[in-house]
Formats: sequence, C-alpha cells, structure tokens
Amino acid sequence: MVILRAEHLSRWYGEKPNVVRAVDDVSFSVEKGQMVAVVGASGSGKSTLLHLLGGVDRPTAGQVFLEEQDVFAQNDDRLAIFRRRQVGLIYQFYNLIPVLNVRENMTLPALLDGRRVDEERLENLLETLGLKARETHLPGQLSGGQQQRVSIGRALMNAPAVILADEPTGNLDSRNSQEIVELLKRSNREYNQTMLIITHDESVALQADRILTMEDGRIVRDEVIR
Amino acid sequence: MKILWKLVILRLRRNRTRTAVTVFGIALSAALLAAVATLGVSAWDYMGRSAVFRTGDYYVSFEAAGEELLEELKENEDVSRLGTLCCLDGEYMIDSLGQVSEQYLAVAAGDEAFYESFAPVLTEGRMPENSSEVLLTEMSASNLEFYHLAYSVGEAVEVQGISYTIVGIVENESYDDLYEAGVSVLFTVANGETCGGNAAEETAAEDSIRGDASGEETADAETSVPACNAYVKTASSAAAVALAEEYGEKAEQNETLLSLYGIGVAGNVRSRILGVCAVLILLLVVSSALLIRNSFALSVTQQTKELGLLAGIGATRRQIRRLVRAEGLALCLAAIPGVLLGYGIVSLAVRLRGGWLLQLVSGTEPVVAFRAVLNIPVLGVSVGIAVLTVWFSSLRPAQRAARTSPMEAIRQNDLYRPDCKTVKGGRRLAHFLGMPGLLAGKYYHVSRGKYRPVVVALAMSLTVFVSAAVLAGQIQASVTDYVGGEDYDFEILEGDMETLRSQPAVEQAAYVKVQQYLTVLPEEALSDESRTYFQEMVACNLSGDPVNDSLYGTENTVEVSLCFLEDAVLRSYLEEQGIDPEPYFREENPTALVCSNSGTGYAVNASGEYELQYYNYFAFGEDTTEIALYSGWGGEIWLEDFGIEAEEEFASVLYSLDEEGEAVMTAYTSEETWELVLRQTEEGIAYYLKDPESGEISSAASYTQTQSRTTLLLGARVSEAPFGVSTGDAAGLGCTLVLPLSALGADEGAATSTLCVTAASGRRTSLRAYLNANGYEYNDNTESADRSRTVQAVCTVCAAGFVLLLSLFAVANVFHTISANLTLRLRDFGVLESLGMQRGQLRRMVLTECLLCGGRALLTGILLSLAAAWLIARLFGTELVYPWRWILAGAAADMVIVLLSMLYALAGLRRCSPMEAIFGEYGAE
Repeated sequence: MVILRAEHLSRWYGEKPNVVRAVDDVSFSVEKGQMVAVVGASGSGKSTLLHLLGGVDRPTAGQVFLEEQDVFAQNDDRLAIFRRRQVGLIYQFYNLIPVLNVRENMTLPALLDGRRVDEERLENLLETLGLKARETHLPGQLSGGQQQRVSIGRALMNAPAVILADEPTGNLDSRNSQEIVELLKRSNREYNQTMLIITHDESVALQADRILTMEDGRIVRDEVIR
Repeated sequence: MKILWKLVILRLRRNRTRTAVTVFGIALSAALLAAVATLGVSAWDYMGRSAVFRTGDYYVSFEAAGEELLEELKENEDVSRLGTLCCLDGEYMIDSLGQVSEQYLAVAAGDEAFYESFAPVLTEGRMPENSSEVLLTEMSASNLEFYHLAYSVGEAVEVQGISYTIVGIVENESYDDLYEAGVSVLFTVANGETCGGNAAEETAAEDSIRGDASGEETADAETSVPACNAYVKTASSAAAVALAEEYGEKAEQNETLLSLYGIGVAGNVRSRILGVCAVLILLLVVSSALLIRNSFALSVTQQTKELGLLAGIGATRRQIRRLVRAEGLALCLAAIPGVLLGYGIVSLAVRLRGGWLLQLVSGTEPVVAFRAVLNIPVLGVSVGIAVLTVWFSSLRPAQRAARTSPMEAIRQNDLYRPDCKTVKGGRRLAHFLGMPGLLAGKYYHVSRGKYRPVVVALAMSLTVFVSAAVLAGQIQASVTDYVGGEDYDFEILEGDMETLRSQPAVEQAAYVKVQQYLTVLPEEALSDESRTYFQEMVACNLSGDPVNDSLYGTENTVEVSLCFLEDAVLRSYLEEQGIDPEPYFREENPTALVCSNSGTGYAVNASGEYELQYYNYFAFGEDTTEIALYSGWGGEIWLEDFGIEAEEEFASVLYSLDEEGEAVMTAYTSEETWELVLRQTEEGIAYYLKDPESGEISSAASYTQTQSRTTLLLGARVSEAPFGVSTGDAAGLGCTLVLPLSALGADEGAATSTLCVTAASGRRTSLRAYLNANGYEYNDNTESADRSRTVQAVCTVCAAGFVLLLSLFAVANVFHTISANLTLRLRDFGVLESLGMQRGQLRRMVLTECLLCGGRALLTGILLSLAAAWLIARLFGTELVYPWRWILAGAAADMVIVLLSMLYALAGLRRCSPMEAIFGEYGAE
C-alpha cells in the first residue's frame, strides 16, 4: 500500500537568471513500512526533498500525498497539525529544545496537539531507547548519541505515518551510529514504521529496503535492494 | 590591522538594524550629554554675568577706605584687581529754613580697575575721556530730569561750580547701588591721582560717600577730602573670604557673586546646578550604557558562528577582543555629530526662546542676554563620556567573544544552553496555556539574564516617568502657592453674580466666603510636619504668632481659615475624590474638609542659613478629629467699636508683643495711631487703650471681643483643594477647612459671599471687558494665575521632554533586545514549527514570555516609583499621595512598547519558513 507519493515535486530558490533548482520535478512513491535511504552528494537536494515530504517547506510546483491526503492543499495551521500528527522528523544535529528535559522533548508534539500523553508508550520508548535513567535531564547534559535517541523517541512518540530522518548518524561516532541505525530498524520492524533516511553513509544506506540516489535535484537511481 | 577594520565595516554593514540602533543610542546620548552640559554652562555663565551686571565684578568691597588700607590691599598678593571710586563733590538740597538738607547729586571718579570691575554697558554715548566728562545711570538721568537738570548726552551739569559734560548713559544696575537711593551720581574717570583720605578722616568720608549725611554733619562733609570705596577681586573666591575675615567689619563680601561659588549666605548655587546636571548625566549615561552594552552583547551572541570561524582559522583571543572593541570605537564616531546636534539644538532654543524661558522661571526680565556658551572642553568631556560609555560597554562582550570555542560556535547548537541541571518555570502557565505556556516559562527562566537590560530599561523609564510626573506636580503646586495661590482668574466682590455665571466666557465659577477663626491645641494634636514648620519659623523669628500664644498661654494657637464653598461645587468635588458627601452636608454639626497647608516661607536650614522653603503639610495630626474654634480677627477694625473717635471710620491693625510680653494691637489710619493692649477675660478678649505718652493702660476695656467657642468635626484630608479654595497663605501656623456655603445659613450665605470665576480658554480679555462694562467690583488674579500656569506649563514641558528622551533609550533598548533575543532563537522556532507548532501557538508563547519580562519590569518599576514618590514627598514635606494614575499610564506605555517590539520581531519571523529558520544563517539579519 502506497503511503507517501510525490508528483512532479520541484523547489526552486532565487530568481532568474540565478535560479537554483534544489528539487527538480521529482516523482516517486513509498510503500507502508518501507525503509528508504536517500543518498547523493552535498547540495543534491536531499534535505530539501525531505522537508517538502514532511510539509516543513512548500514546493514551487508539484504535490505530495500522505495517506492519499494532499499535504499542500492545507493552510499553514492545518499543515502544522498534519506535521505533528503524521510526520516524525529526525535531524543530524538533533534539534532538541534545550529548555525541555528528555521526557518533555519526547512528548512535545503530543502536548502541542493538546492530547494526553500515552504514558505506556512513553515508558516503552524510554526503555527501548535506553533513556529511562536520563528522563529528567536537559539536552545539554546528554551525549550526542543520547540526544539523537531522544530525537528518535520524539519522532516515534506519536506513531506518525512516516519518519523522515536527515542524516541521523552524521554527527555521531561509529558505535553510536550503529546503535541509532539498529533503533531505526527495530522501530521499522516492530511498529511497521515507514522511514525515509538521508545519509552519506553507505553502510547505513545498505541496511534500507530501497535506495534513492539524487543528483542536481533529481532522482537518478531508484534501487530496491530488499 | 587592515583586515580588522575591513571586518568591522563588514560586520556593521551586515547588521544594519543593530548598527542603526547603536549609532542612534550613542548619538542621542552624546547629544543629550552635550545639551545638558551646555545648558548647565550657559546657566552658570548667565548667573555669573547677571550677578556682575547687578553688583559688579568684585568679591570684597571696602567703604571709605583710607590710604593705609589701600596700600595694604595693593601689596596683598591675593588681590588680583583693586578698583577705587572716589567721591569728588556733591550738591545738597536747601530746606525752607535755609539749612543744607539731603544730598541729591554727587560726582565720583573711578579708576581704570573700577571700570573693569563695573564694565559699563552704555545705552547711549561713550566712556568719559577726562575728568570733566561724566556717565549717568538711567535712574540718575530720570532723577535729574525730576530736578529739572540736564540729563541727556551732550548736556552739562554744574556741581559746586564745576561743569561736567554728560557723555554716556550706563545701563548696569550695579552702578545704582554704589550710592544711597535718591542721589544721582555723575561718574567720571580718575585723573591719575591716588584717591583716599587718611584714617582719621574716614568717618566723615563715610558719611559723604553713603550720601546719608544731613544737616550739620553734611556741612562737615563738604570740607572733607575725597573718600574712596575700594572694590577688590582676588585670585580665588576662597581668598576673598579670607580677606574679608581679615578686615572684619571694614570689608563687605559681594554675596551675590560669591554665592555662585558656594560662599555666602544664599547657599551654594553652583553645587546645586552641578548636582542637577550630575543626576541628569548619570541617568543618561546609565540609559545609554544599557543600550550600547546590550547591543554589543547581542551582536556577539548573534555572530558567535562568525567569531568561532575566525578563531578556527587562527584568530587569537586578543584579535577577537580587538575586533569587538574596534567595532565600538568605530561606532563612537556617532558621538561627534551627536554632540554638535545637542549643542546646536540648545543654542537654537536659547537664541529663539532663551529670554522668555528665563523670564518665566525667574519671574523678572533677564538683565543680561541668555546665550548658549560654546565651551569646547565641556563638549569634549561630553564626547569623552560617550566614548567611555561605549568602551566600557564593549569590554564584557569582547571578553565573551574571545572565549568563544570554535566548535561550539560553528555548530551553534546550544544558543540557549542552560547552565543549570533543571529549568524551572512554566508549570503553572502550562495549566492555562498548554505547551506554549510551559515553553514560555522555561525560555523566560533561562533568558532572564538576557532580558535584564529590558527589565532595567523599562523599570527605569517607568520610575523616571512617575518621578517626573510627581516632581512636576509638586513644582506646579509650589509654583501656584509661590506665585499666587489662587486657581481662579477673578474674584467678584459686587455685581450681578448670577448673570455673570451664565456668560459663555465663564468656564468655572463658585461662591466662596472665608471666615477667620482660631483654635488652641495641645502640641500632640499637631502633625509632625506642622511642628517642624512651626519650630523652623519660630527659630528664625519670621513667623509664628506670639500674640495669639500670649493670649492663650500656649504656643499652639492655630489660625483657621474656614472656607464656605458653594454646595454644588463642594459636592461634585467630594464625589470626584470618592468621598461620601453626607457628613459634610449634615444640618447639625457638619464635618469640615481639611486641606493641606501649602506655601513658601523662610526657614533656617541645617547650615544656619535663611532659605526659602516650600511647605505642604496638614496642620493637625491624623488623630485630631475635632477642634474648638474661637472667632478670629482680621486686618482691619471699625474704630467706633473700640470707643475711638476719629475722622476715618476704619483703621488697619498690626499685632505685636510689648516689652512686658503682653499682646498689643496697633491701629492706624493715615493720620493717627493708637495702641490697645489685649487681655484674655472670661467674656473674651478685652482691648485696653494705652496712652501714647505716659504708656498708661486704661482700667476699663474699650471693647471686648466675645470668644464664642464652636466645636467643628474634621473629615477627609485632601492635598489638592477644591476650586475656589485658596490654601496659599501659609505665613504662619494655619490651616484651611472647607464647609458647604449652606452651613452659613441663608442670610450669611450667598448674600455675603464672593464669586470666584475662571474664564474660558482665550476669553479672559472679553470677560474682563464684560466685568468693567457692567460695573462689577472684582479682584483680578489673572496675572498671577497666568504666570503660575505658564511656569506650570514650562515645568510640565521640561519634565515631559526629559522623560521622552529617556523613554527613547528605553524604547530602542527594549525593541532591540526583544527582537534580537527572538531572532537568536530562530532555529528553535523553526524546530518547533517543524514539529507542528502552529503560528498561533508560537505567538502565544512569545507573548507570554514578553509579558513575563514586562511584568517583572513593571513590578520593579512600580516599587521604585513608589520609593521615588515617597522620597519626593519627603523632599517637599508633603504627604505621600500614591501616584497610581501615573504608574498606570507609565505601565501601559511600557507594555505597549513590549508588545510592539514583540510584534515587530514576530513579523520578522513570519517572513522565513521553518526550514530557513533551521538551516539559515543564524543571527544574520
């Protein structure tokens, strides 16, 4: 079942004659539960594509459908609600809110939504991510790997339709990187979580079901490896 | 070095808003410093020149100085200038018996140094070139005209057979004080001879030069040698005092001039001017330092990445420190146009309206021109203070910049990394506002240090605003009392008052009748302030009422001015003040409204000097709820009542104590005078006529004033009296109480009262014309009311101007800090948005954070404002009136500034998408 679909998606920056086509007429779809790795050189448009898919940025042209819902047909407020309910974002530099502790950071999207926090799921995630002992710590008191685990926990907490990870291991050492990849794979397996992971790391990409290769804003290769 | 300046220019260019705010702050503070300094120097210059114009440019004078004294003075090393004025001759009046009477004309010769000390300002003609040419003062010219003598330039006056040609008219007031009033003096130049008589002749000479000789003494004076006055200027004012002390009674200090240097009985004018300037400059320096320091600190935070990159590519800490400081130095250039602007504005204002301003403040025509003094060292110091402010403001940010770690800077992951283990705050807010409330509380908690300049700036602006308003109010009140005391234009004594009331030119009117009473109170019933006032006044023997005290055997007789005010006016006033009118309008035993007693009077200050002080106090203590009233007396009596037969019916009276300590009333008409001794008897005050020759007191009282005793309840105490009630007469220990006019009864009420009227705006002249045309008898208070209002307006404008300028700093500071603080968190906002925070939630979060910051500022500001109001009230000796109205207005203005700053910052955020916020160039504008 197709959960995510991009149609002729484009995102240009600047004005003529200096237009930069960060994403240029990209179309593809992702099946539910699929783990997709997006690779490519720096500046090839990977992060821009990821943010377009997550509804963080609006495209110059084209459409994105998540669970058959036209993402950009919504106004800004609806789009924000869409993001907190349907999308889980993981960044290279974690982007945790520095004034909130681990628990608060992980429940942030739920609390923004005004919903009660699913305590059981939270406890499970804290346990799974190995953060139980650190739940009241502030991001500044955690190591890089721990911060990234909080970031993953935040993305998973709402059980979103899709998780979009922008180089989640890019800022970590190899041991922490492997741990994070394992966690992502585990959530992919256990929760049938659809994932799109941007990475430069070939070993990470090879653990995905499918690899999309980008060059100059276009998908130049789409390989299903598993 | 080149690269350093290149970087500085690039940084300034890239952060245009910050650069503009800082340049604005530096230029404004420099302009204000220069303006305050120039005004201070100009006021100082004006006072110096006007003192010289009025009294002459000397410190010590010696009347009828003998040759020996002059020699001593010439040899004294401290004496920098010694001018002499010698009386050459005079003309005297001859009375009907053919005797020589008063002197009316004198010729005096001044030497070169004298004319330096009394530099003549000529309205006409020129300086005399020889001893047969003379100068006249304007006043002498008019006197000579009175005696039908020559008084114009070019004419000749003969004195003792010698002819003197008038060659110039001099304007200086100082010349008129050199001789006794009424003597016209012809000033000529000394022809090189040394003036002065010998010591033995000094007495006669003194009589001559003072012009107070008469009769036989004058005849002696005619034969005396010229007597000289010496006018000495010393190298320093302190040396002048030493010289005056050395010569004791022979020497007289020029107190007008010396008081400017803090010497003399009139108090230290210079230290007061310096004090006011110092307070203003301190406020300006603190305000601008806050703005500039904040601007630098934010600049460093915003550009952490860039500074880290510089460190990464090999810039040393010293180089980074120098970069930030160099930026400060470059911005200091703004101080130069700022200082010029400040000087220019003051110069222009003084040129256009300086005389008018002085006239308003001093109440008299300026005697010399008020001009803006271009004092380069003072302007240089202004630039210096501005530069130092910038320099010290940039020190800490420079150190912080130097400590920036390259890695942290490049990642810039934790701009708001809290130092503590937990971040408090926000829990309670979360209950009401959800996640935005929690985030606002936490962000505020960790950003308290960053918000401190906002809190200080807002609290300070609120405090200065409230203080200025309270101070202006107090000054206005004191001016009203000092100038006139009445708040109405006309007091109508006779005429058709009802018709007048209905005239469109009348804005406000009230019937008023005032009766004088006395009350006797135990000391503890008086308020602390009135006790202090009374003691101060008695201490300098200028006031108090010993007559009342002798009659009542106490020191606490209080004059009560009972003011019966038109019912409707009193009722509406009470309602406006939130006071229940019922007790005041009771038919039986109505309660009286107690007004504070305000005015100005001389008192002895801590240094034992007489000083004009402003008083505003309640005569009675708060526990005094009722007083006994005895009928008082006015300034005029009907002679027949006292069994005195005279051509005139009425006599004016003065009360005093005789040698035995008995109270005496002196009644006088234009023809005769009587003395009556007052004694307390069972029936009241008895008046006994005293024989003017033998001093015997008649055994039977010629009149007994019944002392009917009435008890009066005291009600609310008000600092601002109702319209029509005058509280300005505070010459002694007295008080003003207000009752409704109906309390007097129909016969005595409206029929005998006067009508106080204020004209509608711009209709005063037409109202006066109406009063004249319709035969009204009235007192015209417009002149004093006008002056009072104008001075009030000037006070208000000055206070408002200063508050406005300081507020500009506060606005710039708050605007800059809030918007920069929010811009710094752009990345966090981007993350929050990407996680699904709606714009409305974001706005709520930021608004809550700003309200927390504003709330803290207001709380601090309100506490400081109340403290300032209390201090001002103490300074003016008035009761503390909580300035809630001003606090509310200031607080509202502060919150508006905070909210506008927030909206401005949010508008900036709205322009960038979450993705730009997360991946954009943080801190770049």
